[in-house]
Amino acid sequence: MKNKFMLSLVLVATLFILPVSIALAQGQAYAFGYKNLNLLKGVRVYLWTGTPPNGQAWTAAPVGMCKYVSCSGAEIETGWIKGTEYGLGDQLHQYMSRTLDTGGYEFVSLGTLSENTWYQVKTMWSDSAHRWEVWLFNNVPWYGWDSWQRGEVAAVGSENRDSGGWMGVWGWHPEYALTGVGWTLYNYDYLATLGGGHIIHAYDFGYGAWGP
Amino acid sequence: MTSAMVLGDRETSIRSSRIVDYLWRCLMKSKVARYLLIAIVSLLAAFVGTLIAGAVSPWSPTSAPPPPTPGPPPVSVSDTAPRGNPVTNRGEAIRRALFLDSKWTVREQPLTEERITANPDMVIVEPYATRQEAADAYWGDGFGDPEIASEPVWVVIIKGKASVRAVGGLGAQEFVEADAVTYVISQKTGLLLQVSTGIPHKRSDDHRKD
Repeated sequence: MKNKFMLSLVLVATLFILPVSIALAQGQAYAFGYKNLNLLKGVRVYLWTGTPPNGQAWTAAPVGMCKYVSCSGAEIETGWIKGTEYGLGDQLHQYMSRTLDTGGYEFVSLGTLSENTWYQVKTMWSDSAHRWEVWLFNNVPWYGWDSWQRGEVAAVGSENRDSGGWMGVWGWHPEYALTGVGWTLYNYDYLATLGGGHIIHAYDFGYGAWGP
Repeated sequence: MTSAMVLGDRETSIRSSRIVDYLWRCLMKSKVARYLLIAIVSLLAAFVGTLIAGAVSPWSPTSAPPPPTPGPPPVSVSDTAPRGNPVTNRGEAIRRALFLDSKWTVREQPLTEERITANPDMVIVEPYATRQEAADAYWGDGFGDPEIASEPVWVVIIKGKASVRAVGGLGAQEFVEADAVTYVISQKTGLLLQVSTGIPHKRSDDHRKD
């Protein structure tokens, strides 16, 4: 009798948990920290590459900016990525990804990176060269053009193609640049997580983003 | 506590036991219900297993690396770049692009070599001596690192509607709708170097129009 009662409880509990289980098995995973800023022209941060596991579809450490606060329009980002699924060879790479002002999309792989290393990455609109630039320390591995030049939100975090997928990112000294102003240290003001992602303030200006 | 209260509690307990017993008998009368119960319990076990696996993940926020120390940037790691299979001709470039397309896009009709053979206008395949030449021809992007810029590439343009799974988007979008997808593939390794949506136009053609 007692066993039957327990099994009934399990049945009811399962009916509650099942939809959560199904939700976790679909979609992507991410953890982002955001800061809204007017006339944003660039973002940069030191990223720790760590030792991302092999065999992920892809897991990434994005650093970028959006034209609008909603991030629903144009955006540009850089960071590290590692994965098997998209012809990336399961090797750590720097990447640039952007949604163009016209709605198009572009992903560019930019050379391999080392594990367990700090890299400073940056993406910004250069007023002097009149172009978008992606930096790795003092080099500019990629540049290109788009019709927007100023953004409204800076974003940092981690991402995985799959819900519940592995994420592990440390970011140190995130900075933004506004029109007519130099680089300013900041902490993110609000966050968004999905699919088992987490993000916390770490260091004195910095963040840790991980999952699941 | 009075004996009346104890009796009342017992009656309530017996009544709930009878209800549970009745529900249980109803449930067990059906074979389908029994199998369903087994399936649900298995799913529950899998879910708990997932939670436990997540809890013992080797990565945790307590393992923060020390902040970077001032000094020169790390040395180039180009010597450790992955070495895949070279892509030496048009057919191999198409096959590689089809593989990449199966990962990057969702299409109403899956792309196959047979479909492309039957519709040769669907695909444009071009070799370029350097990645920079390909970028100059189509997008106008530039590469500040000579090693990145000098890589020989294939450009494969596949026309047709597709939902492209966007890497990135800063949390805002997972798919981008496109009427064509272009893949830039390393001739040396077959690795993906670039994905772009939309039908790219040769910049030399644009200049001619001007």
